[in-house]
Amino acid sequence: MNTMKNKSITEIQTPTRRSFLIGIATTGVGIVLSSLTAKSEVLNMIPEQTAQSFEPTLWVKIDPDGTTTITVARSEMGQGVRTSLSMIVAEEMDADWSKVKIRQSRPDFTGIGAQFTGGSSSVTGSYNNLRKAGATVRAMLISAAAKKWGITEANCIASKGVISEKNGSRKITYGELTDDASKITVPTNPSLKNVADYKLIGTPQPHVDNPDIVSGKAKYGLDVRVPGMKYAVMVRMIAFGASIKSFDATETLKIPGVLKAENVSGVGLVVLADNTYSALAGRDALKIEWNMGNNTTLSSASISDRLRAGIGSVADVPSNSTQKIEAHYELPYLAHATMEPMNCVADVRDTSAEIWCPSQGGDSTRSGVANAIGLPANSIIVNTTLIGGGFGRRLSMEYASFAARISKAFKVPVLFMFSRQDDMRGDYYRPASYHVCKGGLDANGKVTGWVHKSVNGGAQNPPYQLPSPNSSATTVNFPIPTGAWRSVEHTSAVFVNECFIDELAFAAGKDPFEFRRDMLPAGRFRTVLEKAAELAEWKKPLPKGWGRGIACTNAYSAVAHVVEVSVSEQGILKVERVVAVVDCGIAINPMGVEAQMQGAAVDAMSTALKSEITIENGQVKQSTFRDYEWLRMNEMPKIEVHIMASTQSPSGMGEAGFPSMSPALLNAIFNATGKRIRTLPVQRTSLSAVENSEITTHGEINVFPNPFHSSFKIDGKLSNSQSGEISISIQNLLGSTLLETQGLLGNEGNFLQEINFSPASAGVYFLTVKNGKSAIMRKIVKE
Amino acid sequence: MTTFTVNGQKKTLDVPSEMPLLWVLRDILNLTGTKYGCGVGVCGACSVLVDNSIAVRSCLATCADMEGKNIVTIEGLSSDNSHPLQKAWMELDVPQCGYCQAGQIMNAAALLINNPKPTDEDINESMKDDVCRCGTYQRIREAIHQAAGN
Repeated sequence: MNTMKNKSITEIQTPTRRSFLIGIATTGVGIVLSSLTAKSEVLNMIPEQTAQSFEPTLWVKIDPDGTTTITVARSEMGQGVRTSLSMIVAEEMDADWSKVKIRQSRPDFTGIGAQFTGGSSSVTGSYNNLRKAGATVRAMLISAAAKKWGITEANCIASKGVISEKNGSRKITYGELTDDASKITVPTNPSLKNVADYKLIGTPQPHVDNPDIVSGKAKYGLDVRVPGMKYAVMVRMIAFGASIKSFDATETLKIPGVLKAENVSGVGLVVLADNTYSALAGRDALKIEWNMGNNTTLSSASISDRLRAGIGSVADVPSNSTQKIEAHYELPYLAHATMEPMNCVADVRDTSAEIWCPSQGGDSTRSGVANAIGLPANSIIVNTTLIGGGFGRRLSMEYASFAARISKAFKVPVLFMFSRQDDMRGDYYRPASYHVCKGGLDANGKVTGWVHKSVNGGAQNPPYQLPSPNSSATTVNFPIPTGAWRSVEHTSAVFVNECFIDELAFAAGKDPFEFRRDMLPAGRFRTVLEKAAELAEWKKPLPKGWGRGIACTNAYSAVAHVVEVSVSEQGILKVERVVAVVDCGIAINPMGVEAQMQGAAVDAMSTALKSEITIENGQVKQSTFRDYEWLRMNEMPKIEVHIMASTQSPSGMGEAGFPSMSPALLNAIFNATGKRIRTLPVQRTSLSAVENSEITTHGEINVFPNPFHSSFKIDGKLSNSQSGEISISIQNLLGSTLLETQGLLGNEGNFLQEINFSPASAGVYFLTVKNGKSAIMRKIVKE
Repeated sequence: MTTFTVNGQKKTLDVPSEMPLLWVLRDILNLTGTKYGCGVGVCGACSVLVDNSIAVRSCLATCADMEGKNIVTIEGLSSDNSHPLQKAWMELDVPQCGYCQAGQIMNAAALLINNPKPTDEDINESMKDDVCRCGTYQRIREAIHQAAGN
C-alpha cells in the first residue's frame, strides 16, 4: 500500500492564503482550493514549497469534476465521525453531498487538528472550526462566481455544489470555479449559516464507509498488506508480572512458514512467519519455562477483599435524618473486546518508517513509535486505518510500538497482531470498583444528606439539587493495567448514583421518576427526563412479574432511559422495552446519534447482565466471547431512541448512551422482583422469587455438585416419560440456550449423566431435562 | 494440494491441509473482507457461504475440508453491492465499526437462501451466534426483513 499521494492535484497558495493557513493552524483549520492547471503558479508564488509538500494540509479539496475531498482528523471506530465531521464542512460550503469524499488525516498533515479520538470530543471539539472552514470555501466560491459574472456576491446563491444567479439564469459548478476561486483572497471572518437554514446537518445520513464495508473492501488494520510483509505474534505473559525463564523453539522452527522465534527488545518473545496461521501454530509449539512472578495469589476474591478494606472512613449523613440508608455496590473489571483485536503494520527502514495502525490518535501513535525505534517523529508516516471497535482501548497504543520494534529488529515489514485471547488478557481494563453510599431522608421524604465514596471507581455528585452532597474516590493499586472504557468513570459513578437515588426514592415512598424530577431545576436535563417518562408511559400499569426503571445522566449529553423488564417465576429475565431520550444539542447526523444510543445500550445491558473479567492465579480467566459474553441477537430488545430537537451546539454522543442505561435496567429489575442487585453482573444473582428455584413439573432431579466449577452430574427420574432419550439444555439469565445435549433414559424414567459446562462465565443458569411432554427445570450455579 | 472455487474462480493451493480457511482466504488469497474475530468459532465474523447453502465459520473449517467446495466470501456476494442484503445494510445504516458485518451478511445470506421470508424468531435462531460488539442487532434485524421483502 502506498501513502495516499495524488500527484495529479496541485494547489495554489497566495501569500494571503498562506498566512491564513499559518494564522489559523492553531485552531486546526487550513484551506486549499485545487486546480489542475496552475502548477507553475504554485511554484512561483511559494518557491520553497512544492505542490506535493502542500497537499497534506488539505481540509477541503475541490477537483474540476466537482469531487470534494474533506480531510477528517479523528479516527473512525464506528462512532461515525468520518460522516458527521464532513457533514459539518459540507453544510457550510453548500457542497453536493453525493460528491463528497473523505480522506483520513495523518500526523504529518500540519494544521489539520489533533487526531486524539476520545472523550466524545470529535464533533464538539471540531464544530466551530469545521463550520468556519466550510463557510470560507463557500465565500470564496461565491466571490469567484460574482467576479466572473460581474455581479454582486449578494446576487449569487450557492446550493449543492452549484452557484446560480439570483434573478438570472446563469449557473456554474464548484468544479468549474476552482481556478477562479483559488485567486480570491481568503476571507478572515466568513459569515456562518443560521442553524435554521441547515439543509444537510440534521438529516439522517448513512455512514460514508458503508459501501466499502458491505463489499469487503474496507481496510482495517488487519487488512493492510505491504509488499514483503511478514506476520508476527508475541508470547503474552502467563500471569501479571510473570516472565520467561527460558524457551525452546525447536518444534516451532519445524513448522512450515515459521521464520523466527526470538526475543525482541521492548516486546518479548516473538514468532515471525509467512502467514498468521504459521505464526500462531509456531507460538503454540514453543516450550516455555516460566518465572511466575509475585502475583499468583491475586484473584477476584482477593481483589474484592482489598477494595472493601480500602474504603476507609466514610462520612455520615446528618444525624437528624429521619431515615438513614446505606448501600454497597461492587463492579467487576471489564475488557474492551473490540471485534478487531489490537494490531499494527510497521515498515521500519534505517532512517524512516511507515505505520498503518487502527488507533484512537495517529499523532500519539507516531510519538510512541518514534520513542520505541529511536527515529525522529517527522521521519515516520502514520496512516490511521478504519478501526474495528475502539471504546477507549486504542488510546493505549503499545501494539504500534511493538510492531515497529519487531519490524526494526527483523528488518522486514510486519503485521503484528494479538489473538483474541492475547487481546482479552492484554487489555487496559475498566477497573473493578467498590462503592459505599449513604443517604438521609427527613420525615417528608426529602433528602437530607448524600455520601458516595468509591474505591477505584468514579464518584461524582449526581446532577440533583442535594444538600451538601459528598462524593469522593480513593484508590488501591493492583498489578492490572487499567484504562479508558466507553464513558470511563461514569460507568461506575452514574450507575451507583442512579441506583442509590432509586433506593432513596423507595425508602421515601416516592415515585422514582417524580423523586428525581423534583430535585432538578427546570431546563434541558429535566425536560429529557420528563420526555422519557412520557414516551415510556411511566404511569401505565404493567402485567404481573414486570417492572419499570428509570435513570438519567448529564455526562457528555443529557440522557434518560426507561427500561421495562419481565422476570419469570424461575428468574429468567427479558428486557421488554427500552426508551432512550437524548438531548445532544443539534444532532449533526440523527442516524448516527440513534446508532450510538442503540449500541451504547447494548454495551450497558451486556456488562450489567453478563460480562465480567475475573482474575485467577494472577491472570485474566476469560479468553474469548464464550466466557466474556456480549448481548446476542435473540436477547436484543427494541430500543426506541428519541432525539430532542435543538439548535444548540452539539455535545458528545460516543459515550452518552451508556451511563444511565444500566441503572435504569437494575431499577426495573428491582421494580419487578423487589431485589436490589448491587453486585454486577446481575447473572451472579438469582432473580427467582422462589429461593430454591426447582421448578419440578414432571419428576425429580439431583444436581451435584451445585454450585459447580466446570462440570456436574445429574441424577433423577422423569415421570410419564416415553422413549429412551432425554434432551438436556442450559439457559442463561436471559433464557438463551447455551448448551444442548442428549442423554439416555432408563426403563423407569431414570437418568444419570455428567455435563461439562466449563466454557461459560460464572453465574446462575437454568438446566432443563426433557422427554416428550415431561420436563424438569432446575437452577444451577457456576462458580 | 487442495482445489476449491472462491467467488467463481477455481483455486489450487499448496498449503498445509489443516490450515484454517480463514487464513487461506486472508493471507494466501488476499481476500481480507472475511474477518478474524475469535478463531474458535464463537463470534461469526469469519463466516463464508459454502455451496450456496450454508454459512461456515472459516476459522474452524480447514483448507482440506473445502476440497471441491464452492465458496462465496463478502467480496463475491455481488460485484456492485446489488445483493438485497448489501442494499438494505447500506440504506438502513447497519454498520457502526463494520468489522463484524461481513460475517453477519454472509450468515444472513445463508438464512435467506434457506428461508426467504424469515420471522423474528427465525432471525434470532440464525443470527444469535454472531457477535456485534457495537450492538447493531436492531438494524441487522430490520435489514434482513427489508432484504427479504417482509
